[in-house]
Amino acid sequence: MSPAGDDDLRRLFEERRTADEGKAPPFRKLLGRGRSGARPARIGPAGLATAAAATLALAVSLALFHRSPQPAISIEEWKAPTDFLLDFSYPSLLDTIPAPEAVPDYSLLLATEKGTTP
Amino acid sequence: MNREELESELERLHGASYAWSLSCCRGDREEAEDVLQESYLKTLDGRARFAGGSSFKTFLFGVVRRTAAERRRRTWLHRLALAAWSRGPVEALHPSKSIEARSSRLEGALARLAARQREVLDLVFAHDMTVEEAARALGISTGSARVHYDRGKKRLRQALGGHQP
Repeated sequence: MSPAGDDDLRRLFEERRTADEGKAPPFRKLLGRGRSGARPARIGPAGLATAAAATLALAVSLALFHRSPQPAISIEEWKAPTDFLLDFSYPSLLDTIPAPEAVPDYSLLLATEKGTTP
Repeated sequence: MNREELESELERLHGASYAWSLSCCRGDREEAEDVLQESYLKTLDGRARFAGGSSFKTFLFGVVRRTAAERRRRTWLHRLALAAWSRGPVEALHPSKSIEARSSRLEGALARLAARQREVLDLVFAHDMTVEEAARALGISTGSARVHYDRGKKRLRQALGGHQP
């Protein structure tokens, strides 16, 4: 596509390409490397530290998870962890129905608030 | 094309593909080899499929360029994350030190061009592609490639200190 006036540029580029082609690794070697696995990634100190921290965190969580295997219990024996909230110290209060006369007389209190006396 | 035919084509174009990969990786030889290897594997296992709409060379060069761009993006993000994590210096984001110094006159002049201009000129002058083929390999329109070609050539001549036709 380049006109004849660009021969000088073409020559410069071709020289560069020829030099680069000479540095190419053998085709089969490059392809073989690909089949057996890519070049290992270049991991720096920060990468190693991150990997070590992640491995440690994984190990700790696994250890905690498998620390004390709980024996399986039947559903009849099972108790909800919040059962203690239902323990009431005065069960008699729930067993009896308050009598009508036991209801406090609030009429005095209401009259005081309105500023009148009964 | 079956696998044997693909391998044969890849082998035939290996030298030129490596030179192109080196250009896409700004002279980093290790990176160029990784990019080329990945491009070959993509081609052979069908992740990049040659549909026959262009020459095989145009197709392969397009795969190499895209693979280099993907790797560059990944590497950049990786370095950015590491720099943020370790509060490292901003210099960590600059290209790796394994970049080979290709200090020829042409290299110095090309460094002053925009990446697209450099790529179009490289494909046309070094790899004997037409502007249309270069556009296809770069995934841009022919009109855009033609503009990059004209402007790039003009700037390159200025940078080389030569005449302007």
